[in-house]
Amino acid sequence: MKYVKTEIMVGMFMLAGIVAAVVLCLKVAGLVMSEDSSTYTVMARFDNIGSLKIRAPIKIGGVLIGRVEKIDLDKDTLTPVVHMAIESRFNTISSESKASILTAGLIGEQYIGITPGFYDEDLGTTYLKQGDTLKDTGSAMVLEDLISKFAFGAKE
Amino acid sequence: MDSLIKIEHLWFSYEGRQIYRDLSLTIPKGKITAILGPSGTGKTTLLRLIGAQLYPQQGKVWFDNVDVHALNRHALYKLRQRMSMLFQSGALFQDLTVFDNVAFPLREHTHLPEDLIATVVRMKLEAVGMRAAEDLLPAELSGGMSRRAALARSIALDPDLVMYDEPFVGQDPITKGVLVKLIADLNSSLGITSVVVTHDVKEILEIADYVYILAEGTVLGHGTPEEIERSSDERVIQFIHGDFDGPYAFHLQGTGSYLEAL
Amino acid sequence: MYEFLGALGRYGLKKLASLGRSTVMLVNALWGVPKPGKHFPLLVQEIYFVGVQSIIIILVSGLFIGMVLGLQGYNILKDFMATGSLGTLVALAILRELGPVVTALLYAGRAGSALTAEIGQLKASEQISAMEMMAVDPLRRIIAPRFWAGFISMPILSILFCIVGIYGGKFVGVDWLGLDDGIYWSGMQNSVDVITDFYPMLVKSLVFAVACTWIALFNGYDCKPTSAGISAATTATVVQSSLAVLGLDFVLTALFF
Repeated sequence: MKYVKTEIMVGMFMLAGIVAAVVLCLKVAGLVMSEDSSTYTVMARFDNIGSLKIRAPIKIGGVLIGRVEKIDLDKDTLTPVVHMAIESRFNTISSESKASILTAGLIGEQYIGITPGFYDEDLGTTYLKQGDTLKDTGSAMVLEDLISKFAFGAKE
Repeated sequence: MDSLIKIEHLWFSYEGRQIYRDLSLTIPKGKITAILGPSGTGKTTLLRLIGAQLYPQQGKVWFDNVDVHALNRHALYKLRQRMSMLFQSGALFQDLTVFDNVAFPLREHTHLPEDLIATVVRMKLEAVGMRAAEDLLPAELSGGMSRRAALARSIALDPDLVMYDEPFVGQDPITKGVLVKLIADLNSSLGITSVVVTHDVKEILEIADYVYILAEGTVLGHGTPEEIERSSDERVIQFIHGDFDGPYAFHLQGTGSYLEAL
Repeated sequence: MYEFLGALGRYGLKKLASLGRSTVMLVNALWGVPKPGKHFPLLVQEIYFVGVQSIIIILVSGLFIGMVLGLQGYNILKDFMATGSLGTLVALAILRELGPVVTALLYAGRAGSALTAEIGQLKASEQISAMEMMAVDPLRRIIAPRFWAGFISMPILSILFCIVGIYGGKFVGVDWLGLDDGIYWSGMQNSVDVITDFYPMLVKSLVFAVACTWIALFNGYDCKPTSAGISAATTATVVQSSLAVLGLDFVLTALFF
């Protein structure tokens, strides 16, 4: 039965391939199979997004809560609009929160940091939900601007 | 005379060498036709042309009134189930046993259950006297045995036509005798049309019903073996009797003079 | 001068013709509905031949390349006090480039040349002709299963190579040179992404699989049926596959990154 032995070996080969692919995703790429993977999308307008990329992390106090889903340009105001997919379990973020584009370390990747704002129903603040837009934003720090400010004196 | 294959005005050249010029011949149904000719006249090429593995520049090959070179891929493969070829080397599949080799065309083209296939295979092997060798691998067979096994494989589907490509080359006299008898037996018992390409004149004249002699790309002479033997054409006589001297020079014809080259 | 141009033209036409023949071969081989009952066992057989039998060389090469990367990377990063990035370095180098490329090169040498030689041998011993005369299409029967086997095996081999290579880097960096285990993995996990790093690796290895297998099969199918012809075809397979892999790698890298 030389055929059966071949079949078993090929079966093991395929299985090893699948297991290795899973290990690669989980252990190397750090893909988390989160039990609740549903997200809601919140928009934020910036003046300048620097070199922010799609799938950049979104963090509150350093904890990952979502990823950048899409980067668009508003046709009327010509300002960048960033769509942020935030995990549904973080559903108590105030609409007065501030989103800023930050840089990890001096030359690291850019990400969006959210500083939670106050929550007061009387003043009309709500929790963020699908389709909301964050008004308070801080744009990316562009190194060239910073240098020119420093070199030619602050004009503001 | 009922014909199975008709070749009409065939022209064929390969890599700049003209192999056939205006070749026409007819192969009668149910008979053994021998195609004789000196080495290098492209006798094997003729078989490949009949099987449509090669395409001629001009002319037609009719198999049972079908133009084999006008068929599409599918129809050609359908037609090839009716013909088979015994290759010079046998061309058995080296990784299969003799049994599996003979069963191969049956498994490919029929939906017979495995026990019926086994019966047919044993029958075919019996017909060539190779029943005892069914579990051997082709590498374990002698030249004559592998040719017989290949013969069993080529008659597995009961084809209308079997083409033998130099079946006697490199065989000892006894094996030659066995093969001659097998070809004759299969022809008479199964009614298969046989085309034997060879240059072993003596063996084939014993069994052939009709003989074609090819040379220089065309038919040199044809007829029944008796007619060939009585032929007055010097070139035919030289070939049949294997004379050293005759119209065909021993030396290859060069283009320039040999003395000039010196 | 004219002679040179003429020779160049003839050479170009010859290459163009063989490209055409190889395309016709592949299309004819893959065209049409496969018969699962008959063709699946053949496919399994060929995956065993090209995939399973290449595992040892892939695993050993992957391990050593990962270990060398770990050693070199550690020594270089140490000067910048950045040994924490060793995991990132090893993982990205292997996933993005070395994994698919080295796997494809080894595959061309191990499986590709064997495929060419095998098919050339079948042709020389008239087995392919015999198959044709038995009304069995050798393209469907011999070429197609080998092609799919290559297509399936190569990504699996690449993935195995990557895993072994990354663990090889870990053996050197963590177990031998004393880097912290957590730092090795977390640095890697922060910078390696499934979409930007893992998928391109898979796409690369699939493209290489098509290129290498196609080249190997065509060289075998088109070779002169003599022993000199077979050995020339086998050499051509390894040379052409290697060049194709490196050239395609550049194109794909330019597209992805």
